[in-house]
Amino acid sequence: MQNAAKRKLLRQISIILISFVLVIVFNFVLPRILPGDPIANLIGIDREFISQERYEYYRHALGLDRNIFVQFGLYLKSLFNGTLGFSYQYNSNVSSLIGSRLLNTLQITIPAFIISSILSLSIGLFFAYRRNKVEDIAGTSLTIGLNAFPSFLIGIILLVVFAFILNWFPINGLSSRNPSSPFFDRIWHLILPVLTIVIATTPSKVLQVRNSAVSVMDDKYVLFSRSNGYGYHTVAYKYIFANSFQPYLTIVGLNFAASFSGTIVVEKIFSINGMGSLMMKAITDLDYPTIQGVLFVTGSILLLSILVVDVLCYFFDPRVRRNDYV
Amino acid sequence: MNKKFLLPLLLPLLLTGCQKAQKKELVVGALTTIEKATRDEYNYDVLTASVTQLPMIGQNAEDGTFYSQLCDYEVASTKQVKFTVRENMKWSDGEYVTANDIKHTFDYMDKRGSNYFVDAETEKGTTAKLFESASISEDQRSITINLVNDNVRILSSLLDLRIQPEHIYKNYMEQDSGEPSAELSRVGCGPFTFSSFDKASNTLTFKKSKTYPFKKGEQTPISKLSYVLYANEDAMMMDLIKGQIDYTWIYSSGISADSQKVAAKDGQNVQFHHINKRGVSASIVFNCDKAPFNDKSFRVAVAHAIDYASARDTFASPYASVPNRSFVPSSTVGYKETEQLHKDETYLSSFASQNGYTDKNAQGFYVKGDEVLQFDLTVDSTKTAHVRYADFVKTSLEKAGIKVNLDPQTTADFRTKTTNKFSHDAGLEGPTHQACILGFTEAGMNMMQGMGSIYINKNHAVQGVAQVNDATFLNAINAMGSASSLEAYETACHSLQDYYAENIPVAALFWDANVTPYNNRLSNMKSDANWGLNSFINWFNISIK
Repeated sequence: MQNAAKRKLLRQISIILISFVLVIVFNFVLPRILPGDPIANLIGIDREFISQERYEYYRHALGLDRNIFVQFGLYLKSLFNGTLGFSYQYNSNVSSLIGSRLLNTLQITIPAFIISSILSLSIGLFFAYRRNKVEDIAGTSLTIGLNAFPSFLIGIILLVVFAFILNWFPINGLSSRNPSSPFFDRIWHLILPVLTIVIATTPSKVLQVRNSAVSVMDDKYVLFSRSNGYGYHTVAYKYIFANSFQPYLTIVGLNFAASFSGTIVVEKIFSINGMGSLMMKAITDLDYPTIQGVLFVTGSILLLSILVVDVLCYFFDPRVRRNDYV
Repeated sequence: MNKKFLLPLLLPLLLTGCQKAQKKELVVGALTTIEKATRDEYNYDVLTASVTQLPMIGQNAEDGTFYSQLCDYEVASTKQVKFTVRENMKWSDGEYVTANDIKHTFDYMDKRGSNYFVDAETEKGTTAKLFESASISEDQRSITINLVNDNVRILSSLLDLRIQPEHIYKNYMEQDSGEPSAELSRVGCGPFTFSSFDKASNTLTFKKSKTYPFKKGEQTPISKLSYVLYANEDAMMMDLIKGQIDYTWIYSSGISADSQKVAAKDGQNVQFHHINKRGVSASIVFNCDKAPFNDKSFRVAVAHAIDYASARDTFASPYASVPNRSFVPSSTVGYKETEQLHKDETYLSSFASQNGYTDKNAQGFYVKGDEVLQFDLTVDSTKTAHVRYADFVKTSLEKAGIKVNLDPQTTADFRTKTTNKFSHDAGLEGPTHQACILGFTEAGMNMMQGMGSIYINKNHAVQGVAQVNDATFLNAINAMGSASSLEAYETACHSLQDYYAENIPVAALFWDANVTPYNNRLSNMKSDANWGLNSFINWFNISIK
């Protein structure tokens, strides 16, 4: 049985590796499917006069005057040499662009991810434990309602109420000009963007945790633990969560991966230069190297996260090791 | 103490106090993104025009007069112009600015496709060079340029050309020779120099230049000029109302009409500076080479079925006006007053009855048997404002009895359907749209012969959206291009506007103004025709409390 589970895990790893190769290929193909001329965007699609000389120069620089296989080879070379390509929109290596933006993104998304994960677990388990009681009915209804709010609306409401009307928080960027205490100033700037993401992403996870936990609430070991007089935390975390954590772990893994791709809405509202706005602009500008580079980074992290989740499930869930799930 | 000793002791203290009072920071909110803050980055290059990098001359937006920036100018004739670098102008690295820098800049731009001293090659053919020759004076401060043809508008065409240092850029002449380092690229001759770029706070800071020849009568009160960069207009307006920034800057545009209403209502410390636009934000352009709009009477009928007052009130600022039949805005050099556009459905009913559309169907559209009177309206779906204009036009015309089929396209496909260059690149014979929603930039209105002719002329290599090719139009623009005096140019412009008014190849939806809100601690703001308030003329006129 355990050998079967091991083989299954190895098969998962193989699938991930094959997916990685497919990601590399699709990242090359996808920008080229987008409609429009990347060179016209580069030299100014709105310009009234387009010079043929400049057009040919950039066509050659981007490798678009060569056959598709040569272009693919150049793309692979840029992945292996670590530059991830050269963006003529920014006149910079894509790796430098990503490096300068990734830290801004992670400052918002990682705290939001941690807070949201902890909150959703504790609230979801609480609702499940108090299933069909007042707390569950009221709380779940509120969660469903909150889940319907789009993130841009949450961000704008927070900005207008807390930054503009009450003047408790800043409106723009990640820090003030010449802050006297840079660390606390940074925290002050991060509160509203982080809160926006937490409010936007927690409700769906709460519902997921609650529903997964409810599905095991009637199992005998839960009844046994309660009849033994164990307290809420022991029952909820040691028995219920331990037997229903797989979906939660999967969502957390996916959320973690999504942290690296940024959130375009929050970055736009709070004027933060992150990965989301970089990708959005790259798509608008048809900046092939930047699209390819960002997709490669975020795709790789996503696959890695999926792999880590599978490995964690294998090690932490004995049912997986016993191959109870066929 | 003897008074004659007291004054020398007090004088330094008094002077120090005066200097400290003069050190003032101006904080501008800019709706733009900047990555590296180097000249090879387009957004940074545009923002620093007239800040660190100077064009030779500028144009006052209020009265259209030209003024000196880097150079004094002398127009000897319609075929010769002379620029003289102003006294003691230096680059920020200490080198003097010379006429060689000007010649170098022209040559540099020619290597990148411009047509100053060389012909520029395009797929459609050759665009002839503007300049025949140039000579530099012995003291190397003046350059005299001889033009190939008479050109009364040569100064207008040089407003956005920023002069760059030859001693730095001479090693980067070819397109594939790379770019100077960040530090070198920031060397300029403007009244400010680059100080810092803090990406975390989105702040770009410049300080007063130590090498600029400030003198009596040419001083700026600004010791530090900071730009706070925003990703959305709402956040920028909130910071303006809160007093965090002094005014806003959006390249070639003012704030939206919605933001104006909010600022007027909520901003007790906010006032507004406005300049009539020389571009047209919103227009419907007819394809005059293709049915149904190859029929002038249908164009006139459609143009008179739109509620322009409503368009102005819905979309534009409080300073906007209903346009005329000639779409060229009133602030344009060579403007001629033509009949104002107005809603008058008698044109449509007359067209309908003359062409057999004698009935209306259940939806209220004119019909001729089974045939409904209709047309396709192409719009760039990525521009939300344009989509709103298209929807407005559709609503307006359908109330009058014409069915409008909206044809939303991506930017790339929109260009393919509406412009010469992109339609030819796609293997088509020309633009295939019937009518489209388009905005004309100020630069585009001014290009080639001017008066927006590049958008109308079927023979233009890139644009040609209206596909007009008749003799009257071509004679008018040829006369504009070959005018040997300003009077001759204006006469030709009037002929062109008469043509526009008679034939309506374009119907502007409204004429608007660029509106900039500012904190009321500022006064005496001046606007440049190209750079708005982010300009040389403003730095030396503005007053700050």
